Amino acid sequence: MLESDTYPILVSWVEEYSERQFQEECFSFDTSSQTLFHFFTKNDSMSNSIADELQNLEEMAIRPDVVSYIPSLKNFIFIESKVVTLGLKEIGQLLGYCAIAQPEEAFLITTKKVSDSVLRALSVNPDLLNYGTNKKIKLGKLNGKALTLI
Amino acid sequence: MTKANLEHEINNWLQSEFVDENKILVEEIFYKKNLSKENNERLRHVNNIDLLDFVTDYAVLVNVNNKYEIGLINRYDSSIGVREIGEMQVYCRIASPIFAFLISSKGFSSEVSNFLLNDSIVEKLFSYQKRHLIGFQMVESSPNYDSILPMKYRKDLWMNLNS
Repeated sequence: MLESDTYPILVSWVEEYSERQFQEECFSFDTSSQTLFHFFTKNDSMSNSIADELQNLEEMAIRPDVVSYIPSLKNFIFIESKVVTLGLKEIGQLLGYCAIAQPEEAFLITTKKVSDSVLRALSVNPDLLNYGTNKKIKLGKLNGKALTLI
Repeated sequence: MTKANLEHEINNWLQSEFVDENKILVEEIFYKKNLSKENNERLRHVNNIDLLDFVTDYAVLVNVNNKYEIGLINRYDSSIGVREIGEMQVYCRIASPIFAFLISSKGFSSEVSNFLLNDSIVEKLFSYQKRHLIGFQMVESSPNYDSILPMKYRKDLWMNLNS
């Protein structure tokens, strides 16, 4: 499976997840090909209406693979997808995005497994995945079209 | 600048900072080593050495008040972006290094320049425990002081040693 094959699956999943979680209509996108700034300043009405609500869009020169926009919170859910074993490097990438944008939730998803070095580090330092007050990156495993949070 | 040239410049800089200026007592420098897998008696004295199951371009074993500590350095011949900062952030959370540097011949990427004046984002991205990882452009074996982030380290690159 290519990483790009996972994007439509994750868009569907996060659309359902965010609407269930926040009890409102949310808007989910594959943003892998451009930065959030470029994606939401392109010329279509949906993107423009979301861009109008975001105050710090120009700082979001980051490229999470999939996002879901939650209108009532004016905030996002980020998903980063990997088709390799999740290592410390992969966590670092999403942690960087989260430090900048402070999304409401963030998921790091793999079609493989979580590396032993990550599991060992997490057992000693559970705060490794924290990116804000009470915010933590969640890990998940994608098996076909089924996503299981770890 | 090629990777080899950059490494040569970093080596010159480390020599001047560590040896000539004697800013810190260096016991050993490891190049691209996974420290958790090294058979080295002095490394055994470093806190949580078994968790340092990753590779940085340089890992510097230093002796501070008879206590062994680790410093980490990654170097790039491309510009430093959010991914590179995030990766070092994870290593810092695990290793609690006494210093951590990201060094590039090109400085920071344009994505970073979009928020470098936002102190809140810089703090979230660069801070670990009571210290900060520090990035800068290397020019002719010296840091370009105008390129250093977080900006407060432009006055003293080694401020972390006092915290």
